[in-house]
Amino acid sequence: MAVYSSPSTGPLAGLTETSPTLVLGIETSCDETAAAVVSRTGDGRGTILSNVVRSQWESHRPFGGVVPEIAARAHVDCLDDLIREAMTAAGVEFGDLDAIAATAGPGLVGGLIVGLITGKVLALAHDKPLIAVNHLEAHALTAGLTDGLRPPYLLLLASGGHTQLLAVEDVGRYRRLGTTIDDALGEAFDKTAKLLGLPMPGGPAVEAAARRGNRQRFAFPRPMLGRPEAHFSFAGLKTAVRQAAMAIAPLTDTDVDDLCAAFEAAVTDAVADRVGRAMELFQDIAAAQGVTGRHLVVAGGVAANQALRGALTTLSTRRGYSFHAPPIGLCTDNGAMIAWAGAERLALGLVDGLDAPVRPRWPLDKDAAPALGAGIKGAKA
Amino acid sequence: MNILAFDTCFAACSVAVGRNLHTGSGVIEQRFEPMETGHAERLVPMVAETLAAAHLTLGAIDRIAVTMGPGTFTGTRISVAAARAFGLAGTADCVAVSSLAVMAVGARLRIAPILDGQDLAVVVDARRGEVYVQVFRDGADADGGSDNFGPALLTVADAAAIGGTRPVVYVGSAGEAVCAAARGVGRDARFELPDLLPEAGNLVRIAVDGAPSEVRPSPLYLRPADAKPQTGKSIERARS
Repeated sequence: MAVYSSPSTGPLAGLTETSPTLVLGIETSCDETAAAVVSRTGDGRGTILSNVVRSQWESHRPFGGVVPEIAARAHVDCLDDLIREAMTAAGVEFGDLDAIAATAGPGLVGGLIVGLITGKVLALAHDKPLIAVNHLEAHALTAGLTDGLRPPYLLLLASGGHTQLLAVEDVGRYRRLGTTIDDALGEAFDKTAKLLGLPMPGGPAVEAAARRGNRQRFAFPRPMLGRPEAHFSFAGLKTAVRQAAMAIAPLTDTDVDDLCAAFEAAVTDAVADRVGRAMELFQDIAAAQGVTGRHLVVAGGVAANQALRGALTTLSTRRGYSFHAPPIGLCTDNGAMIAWAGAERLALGLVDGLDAPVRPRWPLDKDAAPALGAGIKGAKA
Repeated sequence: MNILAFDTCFAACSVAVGRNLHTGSGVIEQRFEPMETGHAERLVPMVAETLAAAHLTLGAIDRIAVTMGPGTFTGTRISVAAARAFGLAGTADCVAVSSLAVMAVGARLRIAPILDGQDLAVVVDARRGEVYVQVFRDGADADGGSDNFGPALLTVADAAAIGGTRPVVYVGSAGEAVCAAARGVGRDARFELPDLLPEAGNLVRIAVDGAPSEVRPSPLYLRPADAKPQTGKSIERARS
C-alpha cells in the first residue's frame, strides 16, 4: 500500500467534506488492463489501497504495435479478475465504495466499452455513482494523489498516444497550451525502435541504446525550436533518423546506439524548448489569475525517460519551477489515477448517468483551436 | 427462479426479466430496441427499467443469462463484459447461450407449423461471403442434441451443405443467400424471417432449464482478430 500524504501546495477551495471516500477505478483505454482502489480524505489527500495492472504487450508484440481488436479481447478476458484482485488487495467490499470510476475516453473504442460497461454494471448493482473519467484528466490530476499538488500547474503529458502541454487550472478546467501536430512523443520512440530493429515497447529500448551511444555523431533537427506557440512535431525528426540510418546501412550495434543517442538528444532539446515556451504562456495565465506558484508536472509513459526527466529538472530549476514526476507506475496507464480522478470529481458532485457514452476522442480543452498541420480529424485529444 | 437475460450481439439491444419461472405464475418482462450502435449506452439503463417493470431488484435475481455470440465483435463483448460484471457483483449463477440458438427459439414460436419435419438453420450474414450458422435437426432442442450443428462460421456454400439433403428452413439475415445455394444443389429449402434477431425473452426460455456454466462466460467470436504481423519495417543490420 502506498500512502501519499504530502501537504497540499495550492488552494483547497471547495474541499469541505470530512469523511474519506473510497473509489474503484477501471482503466481499459489502450493495452493495459487495470483496476485500483483509492481513498481520498476530505482535505484532498489520497491513499492508494490497491493498484493492479496487467500489460497486454506480449499479445501485441508480433504485430509491432497495439492491435485494437486484440486489445479489446484481452480486456474482457481479464478485467473481472483484476477488479476482484484489486478489491481483495484493498480489503474492501463493493458496498464500502463511494463511487465506481471507469475510463470513458479518449482511447480505443473496443477497450473503452469493456471497462465502462463493467463500471456501469457495478454501479447499478451496488447503487453507487458512476464517474466516466477522461483518461487525460486522470493523468493531469495524478500529482494531486502522489504529491498533494493542487492546481494550478503546468502539465506535460507525453505518452504513446498523446503529447500535450496543459495549464491545469482546476479539476475539470484545462487550457491546452501546446500539442503535437503529427506523431505523439512515445510514438516517435516506438517508430525509431522499430526502424532500428529494437524490441518493443520502443521507449525503454531506445533509452538503453542511447545510454551506450555517442549523441554527437549525428546532427538531427530540433523540431519547432523557438516557435512562439508551444506545439510539438516529431515526423521530420523521424525521417531524419531514417535517412541517416539508410545512409550507413547495414547497421552495427554501435550505429544503432549512436542513432538512438542522437535521436534522444534531439527529442530532449526539442521538448525542453517547448516546455520552456509553455512556462512563459503559463506564467501569463497565472499572473492574470493572481497565482504565484510555479509547478511543472510530467505524466505519461515517456516521463520514464531519464534524459528527459533530467532536462526538465534543469529547466524547472532555472525557471523557478518545482518539478513533479509521479512514480513510473503512475505515469503509465493505471487504475489508481482513474480512481483518483473519480474521487476528485465526486468531491465536486460531478457524476455521470448509466447511459454515459464512450468518447474515443475527448479533448480536455474543447475550446482549443486545431494545431496547424494537424490531420483532418485533428489531434486525438 | 428469477432470471435476468440480455443480448447485444446484433442490431438490437434486448433485456428480459423472468419472474417466478418455476411456478404457475411465471412471467417474462422484455424490452427490445433495434439499434446498429449504442448498445453500451442503453444496456444498463434498460436492465434497470426492465427490473423495475418486473418489480424485482437485482438481489432477487437467481440467474444471469447472456448471449455469448456469435455477433458483432463489440456487441458480443458488451454482453459478456456485462455478464461478468454481474458475476462480480452478486451471487447469481450464469448461463451463456449462442445468439443463434436464441433466434431458433424465436423462429419456433413464430413459424412452428412451417418447421414441422424440417431442419431449422439459423444463418446470419457475417460479411466477406461468410455466414454464422447453427442448425437444429427436426425435433432437436435449441440448446443441444448431437444431431445439431454449430454455431460456426462458414462460406455460404458450405453452410448450405450442412444437413445433407434433408429439407431445411433457413431463418436470419443470410437466409435468402444460403437458401439459393441449397436449392442450387437440388435441396428442398425455403427461407423465412430475414429480420429475425435474438430476443432476451427467448433467452430466458432457454436459460430456465439450462445448466449454469462452471466457468465465466467468454465471447464466441468465431473469427480471429484482423491483424497481420508486421515485417519489413526495420533497416538492415550488419551480421555480427
